[in-house]
Amino acid sequence: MKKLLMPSSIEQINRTFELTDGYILSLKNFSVNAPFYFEMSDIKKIINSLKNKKIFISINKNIHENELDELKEYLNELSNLDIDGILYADASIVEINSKLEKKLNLFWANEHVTTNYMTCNFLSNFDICGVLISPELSLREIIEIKNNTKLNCMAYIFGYLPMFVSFRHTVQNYYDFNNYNNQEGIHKIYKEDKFYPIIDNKNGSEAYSNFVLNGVDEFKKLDEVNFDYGIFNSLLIEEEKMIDVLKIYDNGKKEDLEKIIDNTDTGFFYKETVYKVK
Amino acid sequence: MKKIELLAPAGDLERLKIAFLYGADAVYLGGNILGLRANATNFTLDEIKEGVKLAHKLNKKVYVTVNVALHNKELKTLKEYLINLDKIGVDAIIFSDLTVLECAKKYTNLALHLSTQASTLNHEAASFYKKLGVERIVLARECNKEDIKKIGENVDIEKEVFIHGAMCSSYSGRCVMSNFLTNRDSNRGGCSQICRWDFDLYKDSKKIEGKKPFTFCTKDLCLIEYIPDLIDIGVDSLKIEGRMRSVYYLATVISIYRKAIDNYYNNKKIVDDIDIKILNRCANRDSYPQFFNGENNVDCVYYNGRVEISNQDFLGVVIDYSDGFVTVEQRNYFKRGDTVEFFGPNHEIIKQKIDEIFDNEGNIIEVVNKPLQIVKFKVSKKLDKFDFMRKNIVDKI
Repeated sequence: MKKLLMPSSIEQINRTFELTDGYILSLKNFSVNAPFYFEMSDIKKIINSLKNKKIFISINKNIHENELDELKEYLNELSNLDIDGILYADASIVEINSKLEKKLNLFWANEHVTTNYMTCNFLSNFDICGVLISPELSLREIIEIKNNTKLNCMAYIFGYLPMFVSFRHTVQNYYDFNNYNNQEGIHKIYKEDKFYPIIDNKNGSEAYSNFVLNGVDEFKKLDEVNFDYGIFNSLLIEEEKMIDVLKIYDNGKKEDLEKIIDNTDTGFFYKETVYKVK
Repeated sequence: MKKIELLAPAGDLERLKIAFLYGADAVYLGGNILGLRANATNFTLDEIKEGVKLAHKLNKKVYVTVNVALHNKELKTLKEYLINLDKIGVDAIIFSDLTVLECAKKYTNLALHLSTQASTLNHEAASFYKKLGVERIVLARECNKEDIKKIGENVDIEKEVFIHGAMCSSYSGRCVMSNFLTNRDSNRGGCSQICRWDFDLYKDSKKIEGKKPFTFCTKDLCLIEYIPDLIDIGVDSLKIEGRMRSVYYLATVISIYRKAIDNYYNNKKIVDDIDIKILNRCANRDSYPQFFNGENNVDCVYYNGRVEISNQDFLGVVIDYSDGFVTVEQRNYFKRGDTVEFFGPNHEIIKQKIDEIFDNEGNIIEVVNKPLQIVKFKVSKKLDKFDFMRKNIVDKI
């Protein structure tokens, strides 16, 4: 299984080069749930400098009507670059891609609804060659999707997990409600002894899990079924630690990760959600 | 000119009947599986059949929600369910997972409406879905007026727009807080409405002390004053949220929107101030046009969280009227001497001071304070079954 890092800076790419198989670069203003957002000019430089590495560009925000022109320009530009795929959520990208001279490889990455193999297989009819599987699925369900689809499969294997994306600036709104000046940067919301990171940005706001996904064991299990890509999200992880994390996934154990990261958890790997409670 | 559709929620057969009676042109409802309100009453296949029969008799429509994000293990139930819905003759299904579309096209003739869960915000996405065979898109609630207009100008597809009721704080389909905080899967109908919870907000380990706790909670959506705009920009269907709301709420909201739509086509004043006040009052929550005018700010947020102070306006349902006496089934306390109002689809508001009240056995009583108690009293003007009795609010608000 290939290791893809969502880097938290341009420098981090150079520092982790030997430890990854590739990177997911999130396009500024057109992506969500990322530790760092890259300008198009930086993406181009990185593509030129990185050899023998997989490069995926994340354009996974919900696209509003007034963003279409800019989006089309970006997609056209990217179609002429040496990249391995686009992670998308909005169906407009499939439509725009169908009209491009040079088609892009699309990876369906609307995190929370990529939940079964039949939809994956249906999408393979539309130049879609991969899927980022929902992190709310159990390991059993993830493997079942892998075994029943021809699409390349990606799954989060490390890091804070996305759980909320809104058009609303929820933190800014709270400061406005109280007539306070907004304090830039990452906030946390607190409930029942748990803290959840929340971030406001130009696109709205994003909230994350209270834990860091510890998928060291599951990385190996997925590797055994020839799973394609494991994603490492470096959001809120110190750069030095991220290097150790990547090494642990190569040679270490789950417990080794627990020693360097305080709040790890296996997320939904062994916990199936319910929906009917009455 | 094709008249715009008023689409209402139906949580059960009673509410389906009320919705049609009060002026809905169509209803949407969920079956016992694969809908996003897994914990509502919902409909059995037999009940859907009955609802469809009634609707078609009235020349109205029924849409069924099949809008979950399916997991592998649910795939096997899909085909049979869709075939059954097709046999029943439902007018469309509302879906979001594309495997539902694929299966419906392969095995049925069901019309396909794309759920707001797909968060369609632009014409390129709409164009993609149209090519797949989607007849109607329930647009994302983040669309503003210009977005809706541009989608219509670029793609010939039916557009359904939410006009009233509760909102998600997130883009639809992109919130799984319920999964993380309560292990209930929001995208399969288990949403535990975490966005209505209160939280503490911290910055750098320091709590931000505010007038109220932090919340994601939004005010309800209300577009009553924008009915002309919505019709003018080519919207095909106006949707009211609330499959789990009461019959009183439904009757109130539907009747006011029905009146506004009809007034538009009859070149009359769209809505009276009193209608807006009644509309705002019946949900016990603040409402706002949300993103329709391009706003996206603190005014859209509701910092009262889950607090919804009941005003107990809803006093009873008319179950009969004969010989100048109304028979009412009680919902909230009232007493002899109260002035109350009756409203219904066939008459203007009727005000009445209650004189003697009789219980089921003909005894005179002073107060009506038992849930679902059946009582009779004199009303000078004729009433109909399923008229509603409420407090005298018109003079007070």
